[in-house]
Amino acid sequence: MKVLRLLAVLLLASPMLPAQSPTPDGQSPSPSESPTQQSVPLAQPPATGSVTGHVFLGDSHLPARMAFVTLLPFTAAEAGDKKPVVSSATVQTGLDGAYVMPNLLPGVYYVIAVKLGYVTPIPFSYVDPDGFDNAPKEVKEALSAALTPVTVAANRTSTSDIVLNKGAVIAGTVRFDDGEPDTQAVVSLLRKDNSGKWSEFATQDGLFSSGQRTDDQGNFRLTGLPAGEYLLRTTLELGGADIKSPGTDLPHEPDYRWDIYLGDGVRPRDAKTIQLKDGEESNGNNIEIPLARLHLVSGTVLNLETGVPINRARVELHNADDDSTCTTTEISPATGQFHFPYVAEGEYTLKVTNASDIIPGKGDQKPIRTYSDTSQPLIVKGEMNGVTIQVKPKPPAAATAAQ
Amino acid sequence: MLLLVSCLLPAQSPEPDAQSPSPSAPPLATGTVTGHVYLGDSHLPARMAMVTLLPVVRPQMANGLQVDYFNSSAKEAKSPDEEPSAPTQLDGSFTFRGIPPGKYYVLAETPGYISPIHLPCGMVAALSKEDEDSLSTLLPAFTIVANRATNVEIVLPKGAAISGRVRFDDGERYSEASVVVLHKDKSGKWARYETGRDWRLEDSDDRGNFRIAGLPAGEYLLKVSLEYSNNNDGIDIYYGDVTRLKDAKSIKVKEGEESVGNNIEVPLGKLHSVSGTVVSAETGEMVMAEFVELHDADDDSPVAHASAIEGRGEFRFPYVPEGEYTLKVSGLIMDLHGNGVKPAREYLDASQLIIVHGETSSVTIKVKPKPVPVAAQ
Repeated sequence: MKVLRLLAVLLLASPMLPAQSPTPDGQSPSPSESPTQQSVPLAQPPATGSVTGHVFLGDSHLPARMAFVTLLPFTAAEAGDKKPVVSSATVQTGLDGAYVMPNLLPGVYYVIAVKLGYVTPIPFSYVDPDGFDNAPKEVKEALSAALTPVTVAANRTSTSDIVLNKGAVIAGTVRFDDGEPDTQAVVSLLRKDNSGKWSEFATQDGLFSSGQRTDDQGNFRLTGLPAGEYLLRTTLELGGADIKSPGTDLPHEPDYRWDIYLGDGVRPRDAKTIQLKDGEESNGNNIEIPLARLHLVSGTVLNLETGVPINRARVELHNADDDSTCTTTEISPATGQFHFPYVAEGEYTLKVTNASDIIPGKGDQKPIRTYSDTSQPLIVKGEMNGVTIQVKPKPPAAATAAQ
Repeated sequence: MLLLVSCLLPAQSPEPDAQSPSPSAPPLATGTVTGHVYLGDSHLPARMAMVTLLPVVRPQMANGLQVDYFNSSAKEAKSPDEEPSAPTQLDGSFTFRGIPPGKYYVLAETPGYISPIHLPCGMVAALSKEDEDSLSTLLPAFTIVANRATNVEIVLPKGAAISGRVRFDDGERYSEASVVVLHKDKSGKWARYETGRDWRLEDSDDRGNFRIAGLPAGEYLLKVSLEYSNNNDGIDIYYGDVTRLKDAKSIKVKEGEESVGNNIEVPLGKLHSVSGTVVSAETGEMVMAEFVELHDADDDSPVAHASAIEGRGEFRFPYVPEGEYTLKVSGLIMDLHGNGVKPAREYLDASQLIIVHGETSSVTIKVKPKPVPVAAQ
């Protein structure tokens, strides 16, 4: 939510009117010159209106204090290329739940209130003018179905009171199988999109890393959720060493990610779903990271013709049955090997793409040789060192063309 | 918020490659640092703990300040790169390769555990002079030798935690309240205790619950800042449901103790609006004033800002805790109707004591005209 605070600060700092709006002083002509001038609309700063109202909490009927109130332009379906010039604004309610948005250009707007734990009519990530502008059609339709737009007229004050509905909650703990809490773990939710595919659902709790992070006890709490079916996922993230030493040329070690879903699956189809009613609290959604069943897989990518390891490639693990991507890594510049530090037991396809040879220690540069993409099956039951996969060199001409 | 933004900046800093003097220079011989971080209470590996290598001798700017990492224009030849830092693996191990030889402090941090110092955002640039001086007493130093691996084992002691709930006096949960802990600094003054990277925990959740972990044993105060307006005005409410630091109740925690139920109530019923006008002592007419401020009568700390420019020279403070204040008027103070034939008259700053114990309206503060300098035109 700190992000929204920043958003508010930025929006408040920028003038709500277009920058080119003339200052009244510079425009007001001297009365003796032409007294009628003032009635000419072009010489006037644009006449503005305002919106005021109160935000209430639907569950307690108390005022929603310090809620953010955002204005989104109503865009008619038949609107042509020309977008009308409209205001954007974000303000915060006071301790009485009241808000005032002054100096708004006349137009039609949606007024949306945002408060932690309460539902927004459209996914949170679209509740800002830019996000909403790029929102898919169904999001805009959902908003028009949920809210009545407010018309702002010049020199008039429109009123829009908002009642916020308490959202559902998914809470739980992420632990390793030895009982240690996984602190600062990224926890994210997936929800079925219109095409029926599970896709990430942005919550108010964690805009930064597309998910919330667990606290020092491994606890998380995702709030303000609309009713529906969700998947819960944590991502095991291992950052590489961030070493930038003068005189040496060791780039960033590759980062590593591995998803684990509620129900111990490593992909959506194996995950346990959480069904939420309006305002329901679902606690105890605990995810255990099965360290004992996660294994190191490492190896080298070899030139098929010479048997010599190559030093640059992207290496991917896909699920064998549906080819969905599990994780990806790069050949480590330090060791010349690829490392998947933690891979769940199962059947995979190992894929190599963007394979090439470069002169080590020279940073990003033209490869000496490039290789064709390749793949091979891989069954993981335990720790695997020295996995090899061979790649075929591309003819030099092709390599040049690829550049 | 600014802190947050600055946390993200280092990630976008230009690649050091761009600054290397010459690509053909032979690479320096470097060393390797390996080791483990363990949790003091469970003896389990500290997974994904952040480990940072701090060179004992770090380049200083001439004025004693650290080099400004954020300022990309500061591209001196000897500009240091970011301190190497990396999270531990799932077995608590860490490896740093390619480290220039020299003496380093090794710092490990993980939520809920105590580190000798907490790097704000992991940026050494942001260390205070005091922290800088005490580094050597707090952290062990290790010598890294070229072409050798140095092993470092670190055990982190479990910190104490303070948790509770913030509500308004009508029972509404105060979500997203920013809760900070204060401790006594070396001079005995209450100052904010930096809890390091774990900034997320300092905001209360949708239930108003908060939890601040990783604290050393000691005495703390809790402070909630009620930010009710867009001009940075806010009211601090301390544990004990009071608005003044001197009345705050402290919380003592032992090593690793969980102190729960530290609830704070925001006493809205004891916040009152204060309004009034600024008038000329000579004519009794209202004047406009650029700055109207309320200061704590005890320590003169600013409490609220307003101005009496718009309208007819009126000011209003919407939420003022009960107590004694100094009302101050400053900045540009001038006649409201001075834009006619006569030049506007300006007034001197003024202050007066006011006591707030309920809704307070019609406060009048008188300002005296500025003496007109004889030499002026």
